[in-house]
Amino acid sequence: MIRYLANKIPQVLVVLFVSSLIAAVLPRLTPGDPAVAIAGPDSSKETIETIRAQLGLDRPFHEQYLDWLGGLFRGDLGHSYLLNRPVGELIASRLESTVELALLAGLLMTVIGLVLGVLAGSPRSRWSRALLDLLTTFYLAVPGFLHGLLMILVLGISLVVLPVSGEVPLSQNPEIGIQYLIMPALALAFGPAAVVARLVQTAMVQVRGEEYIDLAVAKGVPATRITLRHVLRNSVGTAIVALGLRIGDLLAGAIVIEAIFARNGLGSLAVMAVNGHDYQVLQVIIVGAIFIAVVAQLLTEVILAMLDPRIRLGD
Amino acid sequence: MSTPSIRKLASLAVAAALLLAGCQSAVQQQQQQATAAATAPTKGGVAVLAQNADPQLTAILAQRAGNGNWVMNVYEPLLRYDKDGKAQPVLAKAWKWSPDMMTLDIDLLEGVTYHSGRAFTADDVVFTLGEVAKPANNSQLRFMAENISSATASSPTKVQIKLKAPMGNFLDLLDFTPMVDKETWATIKDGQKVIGTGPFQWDKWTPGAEITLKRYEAYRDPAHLDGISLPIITDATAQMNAIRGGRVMFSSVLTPSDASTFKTDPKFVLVETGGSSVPLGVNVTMAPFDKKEVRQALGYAIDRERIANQVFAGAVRKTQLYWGTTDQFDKSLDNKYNYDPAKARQMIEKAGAAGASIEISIPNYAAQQSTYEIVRNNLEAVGFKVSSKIYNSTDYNAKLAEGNLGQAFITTHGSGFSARVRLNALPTLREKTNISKVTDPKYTTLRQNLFSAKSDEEGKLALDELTKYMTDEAFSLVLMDQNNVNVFAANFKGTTFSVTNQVICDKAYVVK
Repeated sequence: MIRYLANKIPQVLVVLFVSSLIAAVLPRLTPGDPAVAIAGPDSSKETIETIRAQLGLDRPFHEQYLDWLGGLFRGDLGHSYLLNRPVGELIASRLESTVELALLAGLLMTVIGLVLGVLAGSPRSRWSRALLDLLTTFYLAVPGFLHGLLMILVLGISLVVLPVSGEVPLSQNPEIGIQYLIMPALALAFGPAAVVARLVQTAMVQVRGEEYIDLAVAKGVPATRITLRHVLRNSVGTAIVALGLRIGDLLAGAIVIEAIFARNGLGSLAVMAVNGHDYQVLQVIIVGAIFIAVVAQLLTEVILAMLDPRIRLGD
Repeated sequence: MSTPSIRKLASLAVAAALLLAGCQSAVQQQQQQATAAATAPTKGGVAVLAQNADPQLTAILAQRAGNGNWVMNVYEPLLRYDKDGKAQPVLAKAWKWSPDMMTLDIDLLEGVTYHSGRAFTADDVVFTLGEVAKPANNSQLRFMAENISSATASSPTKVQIKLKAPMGNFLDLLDFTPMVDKETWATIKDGQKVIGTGPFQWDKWTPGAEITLKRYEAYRDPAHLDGISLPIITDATAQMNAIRGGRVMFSSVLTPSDASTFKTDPKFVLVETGGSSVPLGVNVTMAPFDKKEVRQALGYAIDRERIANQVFAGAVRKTQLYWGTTDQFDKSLDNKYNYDPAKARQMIEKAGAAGASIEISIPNYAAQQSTYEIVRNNLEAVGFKVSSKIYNSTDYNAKLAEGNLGQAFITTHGSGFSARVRLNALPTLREKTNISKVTDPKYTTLRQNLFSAKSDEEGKLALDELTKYMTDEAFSLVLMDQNNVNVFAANFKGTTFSVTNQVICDKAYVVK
């Protein structure tokens, strides 16, 4: 496995290099630039040109890119044009917010997804199966922002039991911080959890048709033991692949959810950077997101290999 | 089941689900922070004002989305216009013009200190006016500072300003410009030292999250509030939820339709202030708008009443001019275009423009897009084929600056400034680089007449002439002034507004 991971390193580096190039080129292809955002509305062309020169945006692209790339190797992620802060400082100050949200949402996605999937994939009455299907369909059909707004209306405004927006870091005050996290994490988790539940349900129904399950039933193995030891174990591989893929969805969903709940995470930083053409911030966020997605994929492959002895890494 | 019971159950459910029984409630914590002062108007409490963008510290001499309410409370100008448009002293105690309106002598208030403890002096005024004149500081009123031939500090409390040419509205510059601290100005951009003379001092800025201000105890009349918190909430829906849920006490960026949902709730108070002019501009060098009759026909084709009601929920001031609500002029000139589609169609057919295609550029704001939909409907009804080109706000501003928005465009320009300021500052109205590409020498002459007017009466007559010209040429048709609908929590009182609609909290207080 270590050899497999070591062999993957050059590929990861190539992916990151190509990503960095794309991350630097794409934002510059869109009309406008940071100088326009800084100059503000009603500015003259001359003012914008002056600011552009001050920021070094009048230099050739390759110079700007190589400067930034060189900085990365020195641990300097660049400087935000709009906020006048080092990008590293901006990301560090928001990392906890997004990590807390993604971890809790990931946990909720896994728990809700597996519980719903196992319940729906196990023998039950027609009514309870219909109810579970309805619940999963609801989670699938309703977008995350709507889940968020509905929870804000009910829990934040009508019942006033959870704060409607803002945040307190868990590291600062876990009791208060978790209350700020509940609604956004649930809003983020419901959609992906429903996908995981559907995959687990389908896989379990399929596995239940296998002969070895009939044999276990014939031998009088208790139903719960069959579900957990035989059916779930052989169905969960699909769910793990799905969970790995959904990590990217969580990060993408965080952009919307952070806006709705006014959380100051990397998603809101990305939105600010996109709107203001803050290239250096945007470049680091894009490359960082791709790095996380690549690592999540590698972890998924490793976990699958651990669960299923038929899979051999590196073959 | 009664609501309190439901609330109790929900509270218990949340607590139990998270194994947090006995923990402090985040909701209670937010409400306690906001209402620490129990009675009115006593000292204490923190006002929480929603802010929709991060501050731009390199542009505090300019009007910016992120530089509104906090600048007004940390910094002070020399004078401030009241709601009747009369200049009232702030850091200037008195001022006097020479008979030829070329020299202004200003006496400053004694005993004023910056938040650093240093005395505010005439040198700071001279320094600040010099900074306004620098292009890098982006002030919309730079042209006024450039008209200063000399600014001299004859004593720590006396400043003399000499102008290159008379400028009737020069006091606008002194209302608009916060007096910055010359000692820390060069390093302001990192946000560590943001030093003013106002009732609140800069405490902390967490980019993307919050600005906090605390009371300046050495202020000449210390504020009631302990401080002001300005959470940065960029999403309009989130801001609406934040005020409804009690997290913030003030929001100024809700659309009139969203704000109107608070109208019947006694927990909130709505205050309308001047907002933005909403003009439909055209490029006079591009067909079919190279014909004056076609431009005038637009004026008759558009149903302003419908836009006012459907888009802005009636929160508008009816005017067809950029200076309809700010300046002295013949008000009878402000009603040239009444909704008359039959007349518009006739004029278009006569000009041979029936069936012409029009592309209208708009920024991706909901209000502008809704306005466009009604304009499109109106213009198609009189025989045009209409399409839109939608830009995000940054790109739209870039196109505005380049003077490249195509045949026609709908935009917004913050109101509150006088005609002279707007004629110089707005891309739609500038003399040579206006986006409508108007280069008529008569426009230049009429503008010059206004700028060089030596008395109020002369200025009024010059503005009348310019108004007649502009409504006749119809290259930039103001559809209306859209009001800002500010939503206050009912327990937040005592605020006032600046002429540019920022909220001032020197006398504000919070009651339970």
